[in-house]
Amino acid sequence: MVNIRNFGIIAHIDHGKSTLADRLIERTGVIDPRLFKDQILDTMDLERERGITIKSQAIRLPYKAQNNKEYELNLIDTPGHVDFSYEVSRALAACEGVLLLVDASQGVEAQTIANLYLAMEHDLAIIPIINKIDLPSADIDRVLNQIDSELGLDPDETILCSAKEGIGISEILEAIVNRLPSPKGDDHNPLSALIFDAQYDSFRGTIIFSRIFNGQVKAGDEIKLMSNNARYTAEEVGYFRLKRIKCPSLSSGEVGYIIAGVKTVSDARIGDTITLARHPVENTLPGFREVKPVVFSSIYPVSTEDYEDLIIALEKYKLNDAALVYEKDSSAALGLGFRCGFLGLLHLEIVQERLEREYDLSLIMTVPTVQYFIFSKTGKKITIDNPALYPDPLTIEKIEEPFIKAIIIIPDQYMGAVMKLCLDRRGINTGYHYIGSGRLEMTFELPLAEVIYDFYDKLKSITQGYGSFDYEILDYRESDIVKVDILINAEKVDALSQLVHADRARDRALHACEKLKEEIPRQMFKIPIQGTISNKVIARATISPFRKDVLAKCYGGDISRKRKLLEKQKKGKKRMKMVGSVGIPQKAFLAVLKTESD
Amino acid sequence: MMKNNLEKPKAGLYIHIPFCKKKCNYCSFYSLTAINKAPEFIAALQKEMEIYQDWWPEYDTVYLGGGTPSLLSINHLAELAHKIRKIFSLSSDAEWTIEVNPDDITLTFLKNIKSCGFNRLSIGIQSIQDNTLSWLGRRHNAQQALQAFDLAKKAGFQNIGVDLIYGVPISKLTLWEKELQQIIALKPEHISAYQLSFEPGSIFFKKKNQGHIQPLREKEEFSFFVNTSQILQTAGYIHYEVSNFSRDQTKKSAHNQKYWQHLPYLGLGPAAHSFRPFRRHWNHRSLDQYCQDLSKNIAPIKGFEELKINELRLETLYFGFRTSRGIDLKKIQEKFNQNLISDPPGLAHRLIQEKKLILFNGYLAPTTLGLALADALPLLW
Ligand SMILES: Nc1nc2c(ncn2[C@@H]2O[C@H](COP(=O)(O)OP(=O)(O)OP(=O)(O)O)[C@@H](O)[C@H]2O)c(=O)[nH]1
Ligand code: SF4
Repeated sequence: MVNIRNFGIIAHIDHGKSTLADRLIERTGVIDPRLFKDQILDTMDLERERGITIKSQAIRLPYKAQNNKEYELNLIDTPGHVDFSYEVSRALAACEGVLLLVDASQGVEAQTIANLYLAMEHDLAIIPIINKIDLPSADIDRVLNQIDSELGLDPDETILCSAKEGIGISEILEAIVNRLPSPKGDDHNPLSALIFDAQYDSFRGTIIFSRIFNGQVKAGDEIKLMSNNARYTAEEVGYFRLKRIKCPSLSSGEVGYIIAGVKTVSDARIGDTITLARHPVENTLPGFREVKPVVFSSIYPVSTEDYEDLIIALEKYKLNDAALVYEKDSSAALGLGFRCGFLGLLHLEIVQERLEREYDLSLIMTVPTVQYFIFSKTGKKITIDNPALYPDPLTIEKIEEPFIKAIIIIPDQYMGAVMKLCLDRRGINTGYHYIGSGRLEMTFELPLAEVIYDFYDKLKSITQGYGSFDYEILDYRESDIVKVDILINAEKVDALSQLVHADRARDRALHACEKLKEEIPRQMFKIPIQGTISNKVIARATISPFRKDVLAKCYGGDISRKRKLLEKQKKGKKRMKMVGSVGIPQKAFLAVLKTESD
Repeated sequence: MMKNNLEKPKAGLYIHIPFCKKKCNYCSFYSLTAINKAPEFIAALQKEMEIYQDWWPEYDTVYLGGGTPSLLSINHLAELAHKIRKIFSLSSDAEWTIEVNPDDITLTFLKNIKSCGFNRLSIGIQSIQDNTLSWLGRRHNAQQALQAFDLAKKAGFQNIGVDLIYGVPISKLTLWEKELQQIIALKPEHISAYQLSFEPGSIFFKKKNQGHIQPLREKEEFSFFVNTSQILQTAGYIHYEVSNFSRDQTKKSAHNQKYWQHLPYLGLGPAAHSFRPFRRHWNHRSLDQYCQDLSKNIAPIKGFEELKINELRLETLYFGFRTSRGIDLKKIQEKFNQNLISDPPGLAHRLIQEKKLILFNGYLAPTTLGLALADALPLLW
């Protein structure tokens, strides 16, 4: 155990995390350097075809240090988006230390700080590294200064590196060995292992990524997941190199995988503790949380015939994404579909994209919604996350919506802009303080509903990319929430209904009407589009009919060609969602969902 | 067998002459400038006629189109006319049309084609504004165009059609209306007024895509269309098809109506199309391939299709909405088992209410507003 080091790399986006990881893998001889380039390029295909995982969640690097001792270095990957902050925290919980990477020309940036905080929360040892020193624009002195004043780390302990040119790599490897603590723990204690990730393999079922804190696990052991007492038999344990490597056992301090006939990744919950059934540990590892979806939206196939395919696609997709939850849903306008819960908007987009790409589906997503508590006059409380379930407003006593605590780190010149953005989003500023020279941490309480749209994009754009943002759910607060319906050609399109704060209803309705007007092709008839609250029109737009659609000539030869054109048009119409006689293209639904008028 | 033949409608005969002196900018018809290949073509064409000798019992229209039939020598034209009569059975009152270009014709030439049996002229005037004509890439000027009409009259033609193009971006609506009045003053029996369109394969199509030509906006197109219709109707013309107007019922182009009513027509020459119930076939769009096939006595067919019931229905609606006679509701009910008035519900009435269609004598017919939308209408059913 003294020869084990478990570590992650944290960095602001594009500061060189992947490049450094590749260099470490290469330098420790896991891959023949000549093959390396090709393999990196083909990562995706390789992963899919042969289960080889270069960018695996955890890779074990054998390293012979200058002291001539053999070490086992476990590099644990961390995802980089606030939607997955819980996963990041679990990955860091599996480490004793991190490499904190800073770009030599960009310097310390927002995510550098946010990531550092996370590492410090876990009491991790930190090795600061300045990367890209080969760049002509590298300003090492300035960055060393920032590391001192803004990060509060020792500039003398900073390693200079060029991941691209391979400079400083040996020093980093030595520092990992010498400056990061070895794991503590005891093989004789009862097994206590952290699940920090899980992936689905079509042959073996769920591959659980785990960090052993105490005890030992080997093939044949009966294991127990402590959150739900589910028992499984460990079929195989091992670690990752370029592919899975079986080994007799995993001992305390080690990082590796366990295959135990767990059917779906949802059954291996991230943050859960694994122990042995016959000799269980008393306490679970700290920090386990059930991952709960916070954003809800319905998915419908553009073509109703694809519904069966969607069922299969979701089932398959779900095998590898524990965070997605779904149940059947139906819409008068869109037919059969699924109501889905996501970790955030990015998660929603990933799911949609992967379903469309990997399962060749065309999907319509409805406007995302958070979960509301509705208290009826009769004293009943219901939870809804679907506008379709919004009760008769006359029966409602009050409605509560979820609030978050948002932490935003920015260079101080953006303070005014960020303040305005958050106040516009019904936020309450609860404080700010300087964390380094010119760097500000601001906290806000914000309705979750206001951040699930394009808040992060907006923040990025008003801070020119320097703003970082993190949040946690706070509580539920009373709020004036109304349901906005959209009528196209006097027919209500239930899939376009949204729950919004009364103050924003008109803007949102208008936005939806205008987007639909842009995206719905003109037709023979005038098409009115209306936004309503309780049947009262609050916004409208009109698609004017076209007046001319005729080709001058139609003689002998043209006929077959022209008919084929008509047939094509007819097919195109079929691919649209028909609401009455109006065809609504998929991108119209997307347009309503996507941007917000501010 | 006899009885059967008697019941058969008469067919149309189309002959495509694939030569032009110069390609016009808007044109996507199949034609070449290699007029020196005419003798070879005429020989091949006669072979093709022989192949189709028994294709249909009787014809009542002949149409020489192109390309530019008036580029052929009078000897070639006479030879063709003679061969047509020899091979095919033609009604005594058949309509014989030939397309001519204003700059090709002389009084003698016209008299000669008249004596070949052609009784209807279609003159490619297109415009009587010099700058429009040169922008379109036409070979003639306005004066030649007007003179051609004069010559046709002098030669004794009593059924003259003129082809016009409107909606030219460099012109104006008021100018076009003036042109139209000048044409009306000539009293042609028939006027084809085509909205300038950007056909794939034409020079203009490319220019439009490169952004060198800005076509009219929909609103302007609409004004051109409606005003053209109104002016010609005021002058006594019948607007019987999207682009076609006739002085009276007898002067409609009998040949073109074959296309629109699923009546049989035999198309000869490269790129020509033929139809008889319910199969359509088309020839190679290459003079060389055409001649080569015929030199081996093979019909120069490039492809064909057998119309299925749905396709036939769509085409019937398509043609119906493009002609002011409209759609015979009873026929649609019988052939396709659809009541256009009640299926889908409300649609026909709504269009009638909006004055796009009218219901008349069992026909559902487009108004002028409806004709402007004719290509979109069939998709609603
Ligand atoms: N000049 C120079 N460029 C580097 C160096 N290290 C990485 N880069 C380049 O910086 C860019 C970002 O590197 P990545 O390794 O993809 O950065 P990352 O942090 O993994 O980025 P994300 O995965 O997007 O978060 C790439 O174009 C690299 O080639 C270096 O040492 N010197
Ligand atoms: S418009 Fe007529 S004359 Fe001009 S190129 Fe086309 S076929 Fe030839």
